[in-house]
Amino acid sequence: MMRILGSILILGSSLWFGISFALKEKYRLEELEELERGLLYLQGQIQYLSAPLAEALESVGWKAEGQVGRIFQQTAVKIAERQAETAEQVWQEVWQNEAVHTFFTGEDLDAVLVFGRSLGYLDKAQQENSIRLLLRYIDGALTRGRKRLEKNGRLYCGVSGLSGLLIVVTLL
Amino acid sequence: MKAEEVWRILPRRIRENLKESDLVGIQEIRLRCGQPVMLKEENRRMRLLEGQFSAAEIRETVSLLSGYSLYAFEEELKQGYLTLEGGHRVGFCGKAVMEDGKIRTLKQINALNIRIAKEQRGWGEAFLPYLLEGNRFYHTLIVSPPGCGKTTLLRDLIRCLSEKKWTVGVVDERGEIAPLRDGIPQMDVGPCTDVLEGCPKAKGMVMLLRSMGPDIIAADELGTQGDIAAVYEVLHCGVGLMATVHGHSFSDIERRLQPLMQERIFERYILLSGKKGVGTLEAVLDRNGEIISKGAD
Repeated sequence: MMRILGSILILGSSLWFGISFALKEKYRLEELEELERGLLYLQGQIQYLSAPLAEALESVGWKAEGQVGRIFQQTAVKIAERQAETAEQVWQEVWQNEAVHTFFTGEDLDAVLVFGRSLGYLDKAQQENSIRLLLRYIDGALTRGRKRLEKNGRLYCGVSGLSGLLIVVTLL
Repeated sequence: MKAEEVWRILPRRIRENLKESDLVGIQEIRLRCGQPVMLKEENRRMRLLEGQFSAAEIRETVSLLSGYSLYAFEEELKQGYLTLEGGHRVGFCGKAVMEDGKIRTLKQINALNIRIAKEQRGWGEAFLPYLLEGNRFYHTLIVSPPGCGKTTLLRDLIRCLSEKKWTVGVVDERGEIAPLRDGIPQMDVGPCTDVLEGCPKAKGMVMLLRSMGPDIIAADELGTQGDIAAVYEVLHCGVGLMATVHGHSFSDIERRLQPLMQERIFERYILLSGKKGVGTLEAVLDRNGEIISKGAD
């Protein structure tokens, strides 16, 4: 009885390990898509409405979902408080605090923080260019991520399941 | 006075050396690179703060006053000023960047003039007997040099008329009369007032006329030919007009608003000055420039 229970536990946990690995990538892609949508809203707010950052980010925060939406909302609140010297400081602070609650990779975070450097700086053309730059990164990351997930998603589950089975057989 | 909007845009060092309550009674704050901060009081006295204002502090102030969004104020920057929440106006000086003979933007901003907007409820009441006769409103022009209370009086007159159930349409091109926040005017302009913010006066007056059916249209600082053309359109539709203009005297504006003045379009002129402090009433004149009421000597 104990052996069967142990085997199920080993199999289950190794399968969970593989699934969570695939899910992590899936959630990251979902968050990147949400960030992409948010940036497109932001671009519209800046380009067509000339909305200042606090107003633009607040609108984006309401439209974007999940953790990404919350990050936009928090940034809007902090920008409206005007306690920092630059918008970059606010952007960095919020993203560095909130990144732990997201599935973004270090590379994603770097791209997002680089974007923050030009936030609110100079004219609308500059803002649009930096948004476009981040969108291009996200686009590339999504394409690569989707391919990886398609290629490796089942593999993660299969390999982890087989590894679990191997451990069970070896132990038995 | 709502000075918190001004307080929030001052750099940290200044906020540490001042109290928010110190801004009460201040009309202007002048920040110049390499010079001490100058506070101009309403009685025209100047107060200097210790220490020089640095270029970094100018940059910090510009960043704070634009809500870190200088891009959103491109047009205002070209004009050399922008309006803060609360209707306070900030003027800029720096180096103009030209493109095709037009100002593209200002760079190396080296001086700022923050003019604190005031709300003086009740000031306009005293003028109503001169501007109203039964159900008729006399087209009115408020004349004064800069910083002598034109906009403050205009705002209070709007409020008074609105409270008397006149529908007033306000074209607030620079957000100085009744700046909107989430659609709500941040200064009291009465219950029957519709505010169109950020729209050029000439276009705004015509838009209000067509869209909101006002009894009176109010606008700040008439000046361009477009404004004058829009005034005619308003008048042809039988709507009352209340506006302000920069000037020192009746003869001064006679030259600047020639067609309107020649045709005696305005029926009342309120002349203000800063002789005995902001908003000193010089006189109320009729359409021919005859004195109806004279201010205290």
